[in-house]
Amino acid sequence: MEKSSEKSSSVPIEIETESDQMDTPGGFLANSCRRGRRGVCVSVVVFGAIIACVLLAFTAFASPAHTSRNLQQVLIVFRHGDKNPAETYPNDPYANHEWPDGWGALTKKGMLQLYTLGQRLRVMYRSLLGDKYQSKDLLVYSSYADRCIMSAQALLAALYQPGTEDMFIPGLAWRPIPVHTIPRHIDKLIVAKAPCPRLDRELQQAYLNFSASANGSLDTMYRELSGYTGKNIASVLDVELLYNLLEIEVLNNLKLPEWAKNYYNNRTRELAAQSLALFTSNVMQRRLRGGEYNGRSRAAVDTNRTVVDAGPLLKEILTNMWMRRNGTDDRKMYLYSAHDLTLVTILRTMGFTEELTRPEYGAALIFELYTTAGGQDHEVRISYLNNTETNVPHVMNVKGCGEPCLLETLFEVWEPVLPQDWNSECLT
Amino acid sequence: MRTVEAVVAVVTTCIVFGASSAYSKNLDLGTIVFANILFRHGDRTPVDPYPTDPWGNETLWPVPFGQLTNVGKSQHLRLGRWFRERYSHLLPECYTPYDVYVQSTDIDRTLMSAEANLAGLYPPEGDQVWDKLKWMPIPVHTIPELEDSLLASKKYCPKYEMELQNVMNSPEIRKIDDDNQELYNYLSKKAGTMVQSVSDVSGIYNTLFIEVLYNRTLPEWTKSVYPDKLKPLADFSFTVEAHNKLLQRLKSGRLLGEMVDHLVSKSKNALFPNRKIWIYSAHDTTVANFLMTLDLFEPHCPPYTATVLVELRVNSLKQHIVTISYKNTSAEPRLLTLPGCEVACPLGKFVELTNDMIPKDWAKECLLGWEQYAHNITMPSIFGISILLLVIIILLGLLIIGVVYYHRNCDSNRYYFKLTTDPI
Repeated sequence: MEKSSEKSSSVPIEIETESDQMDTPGGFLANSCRRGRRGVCVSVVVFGAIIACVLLAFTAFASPAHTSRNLQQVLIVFRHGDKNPAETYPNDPYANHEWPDGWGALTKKGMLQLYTLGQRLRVMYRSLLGDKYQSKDLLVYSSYADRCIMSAQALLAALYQPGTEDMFIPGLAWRPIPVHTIPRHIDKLIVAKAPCPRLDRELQQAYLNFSASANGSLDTMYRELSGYTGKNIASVLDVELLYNLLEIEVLNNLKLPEWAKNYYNNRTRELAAQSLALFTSNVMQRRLRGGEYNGRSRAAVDTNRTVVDAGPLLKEILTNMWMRRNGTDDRKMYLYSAHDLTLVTILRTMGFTEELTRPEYGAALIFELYTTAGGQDHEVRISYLNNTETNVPHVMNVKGCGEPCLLETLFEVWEPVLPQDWNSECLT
Repeated sequence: MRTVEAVVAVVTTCIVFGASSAYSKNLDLGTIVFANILFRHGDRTPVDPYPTDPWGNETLWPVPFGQLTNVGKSQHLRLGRWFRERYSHLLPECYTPYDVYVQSTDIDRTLMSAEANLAGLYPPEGDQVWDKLKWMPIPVHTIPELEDSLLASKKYCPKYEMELQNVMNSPEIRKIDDDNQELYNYLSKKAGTMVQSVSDVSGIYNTLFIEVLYNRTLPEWTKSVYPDKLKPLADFSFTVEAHNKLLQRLKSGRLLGEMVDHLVSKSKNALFPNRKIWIYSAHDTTVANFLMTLDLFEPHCPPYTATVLVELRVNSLKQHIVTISYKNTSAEPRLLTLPGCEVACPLGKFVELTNDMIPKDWAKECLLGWEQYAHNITMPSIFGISILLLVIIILLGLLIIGVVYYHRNCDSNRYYFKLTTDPI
């Protein structure tokens, strides 16, 4: 995150296509004042001030209350580990490279990355999860992709490594844990490939807007890259996929061809990041794209739950926390094994739109639900692990939610990006 | 745990079939070139204990209800090792997605069974060792149950549901219900739940079976019925879901179809990627329904890890043959003979014999009579309907014009008279 924020200051093209209500909470206040509803305005300000004073007093004088904070639930969305390239281009000197396990596969390094993340989570949440695996504590979802299923399994191998007495076969310090996958064509939760005409239109428009704002400045690049690669490079998406491939080749110590020196640089990296962001360039896209889960099927996975309502990943996460708060769900952890685009999408849906991000392997977005004030308040703390090497999670403060950020407030702040009825909104 | 495993072994070996297969030692079975593998999960706790069950408290069990136990995990790990041995000539020691595909129903115990099985089949070797663990992640694919028409077969199929009702109300099943009414009443009273069908009996039988397996003392009332009176009904209950051709076609037909596709593609060198085995991890009902569909099922409760192997082989004459084997004990699997074929069934003949059981368009065949009309729209019917509609519209139009015209005339004549005296 920090790395990419430095670079994003030099973004040449503005891709925000509309002002985001969520980013400007002051706008609503100013409007209501202007419209002559002075009374409302004054009372809001006064009450706000009072609440602010109370909160200030609370944080100033009641800090011991923080020690009574109780972790209730953890939800984590993470990217798979190091992988082989998924595709190549005609003039690629490494088009016939022997990638162990084949194209797009999770590598041994990738397995270790997720295993390391699992070990870290074990340390962080030992007191929440206990030492033994309890099937009721945990629900794991994965995208359809092999590398995501395997990443989830590798993480779980470390998170729930059995002790000698729990091994089902002597000498094997591993136990199977179910990972529920969703086929691509019905996945609204993670890869969001379930058919949604509205999203298709919005994405087309986003690409058009991007080309318009680039104003031909990328045409030379597209033309040159098409010439070098022997593949038609005609959009920022093509550039992103090419950059991803070059990056993996560099990571694997393969020497790039001469021409690539001019393109394997920060500028192309920025373009790749922008390409990921185009999927969530406006509020409607963020609203429908976090991916929606088929509530009916989920009910089948987990009969204890009665949610029939369907929501995007962000809504799913909020709903799980809400049900935990109500006592209608007693799961302690949810894991979602996903892709770089999933992380970018949910981050931008949450309002973190200023900086462009290319999530690293094993990057994890962590939601923690706490009870505070003797179980009265429900506080959400969000953090981000840049990769599996960092030990320090980056704390994410949601704009407009304040500190501590309460679960109820999050529902209000994110109201514009939580769809009411995904299926019908997709048809509008 | 040992004793439990021993009991499992004893019980499974006790389930013996009338050996119908014409097995002989000089069969030319050649070598296996591809295998479809369908198995049941391993040892589990009861799924749904009856209301008055003294062991009905989940905390009395090592894992929550319906979950795979450690015994179940090791059963499958060992089955995986057995696969490794059986297919060592076929499967390289290192895992690649190009050799194997694994599909499971979306239930914890089947997902975990598949994973444990793969841990036995593919312990990491050489280059693939990534940690000190003797395990590596291998993807297991699944579909939410209610979307799954292939393996779990829980996707809603109106035609199937209707036909199942017909079967449940058929004279054959009715007679069984009538003959056992006394037993049903006894069970209903003692178990505290309505027992109205062989499936209900099977549920109670299964719970008692597991409790005996785990050395739990059964309540006094069970002595007069368990196992002798319940077992035959429980065995029979596994024939119900795929009782006739239509039920078989809709319940297991897609799975059989997929397996046949693999065999045919493989024989033509047209399987991409060129996989060697295809694994399906499922339930006792899946195994029973599948064998019913092939007309090979002897009524019994398929035990844990019961495995059906539908294998493609090349014999000494370089011909492709198909064998069906059933492994429901720890011993070697038994060869079964598809009715109308030999043990070593020529691929062409196998395809021909199974063709009837495979739906061409499952979703369409699931629709009820009137719904199917919507799917059956052909050019002539569209033409006919459009002509009919056109005629109706023209007639309606004429009628409206007529009515309007008539009213106009009436109106102008009835209420207004031309005043000749009006000055112009």
